[in-house]
Amino acid sequence: MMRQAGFADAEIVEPTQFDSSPMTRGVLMRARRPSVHSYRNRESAVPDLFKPYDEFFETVYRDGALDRRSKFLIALGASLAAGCEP
Amino acid sequence: MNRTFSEEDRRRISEGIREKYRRVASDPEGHFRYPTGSAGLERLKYPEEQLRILPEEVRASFCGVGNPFSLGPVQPGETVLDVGCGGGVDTLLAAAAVGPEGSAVGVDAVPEILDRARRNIDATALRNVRFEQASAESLPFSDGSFDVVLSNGVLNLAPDKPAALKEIFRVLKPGGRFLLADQVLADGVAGDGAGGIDTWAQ
Repeated sequence: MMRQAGFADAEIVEPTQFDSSPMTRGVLMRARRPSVHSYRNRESAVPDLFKPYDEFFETVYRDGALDRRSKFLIALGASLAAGCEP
Repeated sequence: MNRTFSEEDRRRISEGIREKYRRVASDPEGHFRYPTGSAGLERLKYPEEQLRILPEEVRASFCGVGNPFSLGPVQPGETVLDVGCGGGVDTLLAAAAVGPEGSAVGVDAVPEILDRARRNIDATALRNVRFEQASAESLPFSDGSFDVVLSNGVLNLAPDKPAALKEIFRVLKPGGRFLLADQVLADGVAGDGAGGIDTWAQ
């Protein structure tokens, strides 16, 4: 039911030692709403699919005429100006 | 297990639950076999250090089935929602944990218990916390409002669990987390729907 609602990493962590009836078990559960960043949700996705993307990303942002930090700052400015979601 | 209830069934369930908790609102101890009050908090292993900010009159209103805070820290500055907050003990503990830069909201479907929760705020020094009337299936908040949603012994009472879970998902921020203590069925139940409905609030 958790996954159908969209949750990721839903897990029963441990029992609570309190069962309200013979038919039920007390549990502690947690789940996460996935982050918007697809690379952070990739644990269960197809890893090979993102390998070329990662390599392209690294090539673009590698130190060159501008260092990596400057490239990231430019990208951050562009995304803010474009109104991209964080 | 895939059991769907008719409108009439859902109405009976909801009314049964609300009637039960109306009585609980005035005095939780004695209505349940569930952990309640200070003894319940101790039984469910809420650390005394965490409970320090709650006077005995507030602790007395506790009714839960686990300690959702044991699932992970609630950090300063975060926004927290407690679904099915009852007397608000978990909500108040969350408000203390998030500090003045954060905030906590508790919702419950039973107005009488919210009166108790609001009185509980006054018994503490907390000012970053409020309570509103709502049911889990229809939360009065925008998408992505909260870093954390807590729930303690509540979803087992929801007649439409998928709807409640979708709403909780909706109001969580991306990356936000849902921490809950609850009772789950150990096995499938017999198909006698009528008997099952009448025992939902026990």
